[in-house]
Amino acid sequence: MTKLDFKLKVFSLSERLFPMVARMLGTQANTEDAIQEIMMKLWKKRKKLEKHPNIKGFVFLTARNYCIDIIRKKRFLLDELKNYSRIIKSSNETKKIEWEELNIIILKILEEIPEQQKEVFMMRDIDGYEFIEIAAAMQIKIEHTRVLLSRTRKQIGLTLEKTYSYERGIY
Amino acid sequence: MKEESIKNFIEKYKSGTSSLEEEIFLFDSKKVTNSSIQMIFSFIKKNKKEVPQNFNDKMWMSFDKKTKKMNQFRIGLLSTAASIVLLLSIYISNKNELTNSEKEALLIEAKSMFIAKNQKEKNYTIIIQNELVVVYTKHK
Repeated sequence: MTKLDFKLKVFSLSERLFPMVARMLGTQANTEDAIQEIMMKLWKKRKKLEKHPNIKGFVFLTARNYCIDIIRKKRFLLDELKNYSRIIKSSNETKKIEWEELNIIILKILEEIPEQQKEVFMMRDIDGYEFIEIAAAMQIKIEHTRVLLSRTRKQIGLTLEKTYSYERGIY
Repeated sequence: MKEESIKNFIEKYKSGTSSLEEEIFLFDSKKVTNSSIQMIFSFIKKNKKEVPQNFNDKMWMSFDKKTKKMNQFRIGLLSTAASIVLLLSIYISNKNELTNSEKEALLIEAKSMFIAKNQKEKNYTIIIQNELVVVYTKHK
């Protein structure tokens, strides 16, 4: 694989990797460094990569595994997400408090959900990936991805309904 | 967009059968009345990460520099290794070459071997010699 081929087929996916890597690793500086590292790894494997039947899938899988390795070392997935949420500025203070409360509730719901389900939800709704990309990164079937996603969306919706009905006094 | 189609989109969203375009439309729509779905969309929108502008180009520039440096380093390393091998081979070949005194000693030794052979030959006298037989005396 020439450098130009690598640029067109592999490196061009950097923008697509950004949301997932940024979500998993936190800051933009971390994300940029991580994507550089991922690309260097892939560059070293370019001879093997050339013959791979699903280059895009392999790139997503490599990126996800790399992030998991980093997280295992640092263990800051949800903390960073919480920190990130706190940085987001709301126009008024009430809205900000409401937003923080909602964010904490949904993060708590996500903590209760099985890891695989949570990851599929994050990759689809937050990162905006196609099912084929999620399936490749998670090494599962597309249909299974849809099932996990549907289950998670319904579970979050139901738990939110219960939480807010309880707060409003509607039992 | 009609309320009916929004409802359909939400149903598709819940069952995991909506497309990315439909989902983007839903996240931005203000016609979603279901409060729990609204909350989920709000969470999603606020947690979405925006890709910086010209991200690929910026990253490529840095990657290109790194790989060029790596190549330069590899070339430097190879040329250093080649130089070391060359110097070593010159050193070893020089080491194997004999000094003049050693050469002289060897020559004397070789010469003495010839003398011994000649002396040995002188101890025998050939009486008859043809293609088949050689007759000689044991001692002179």
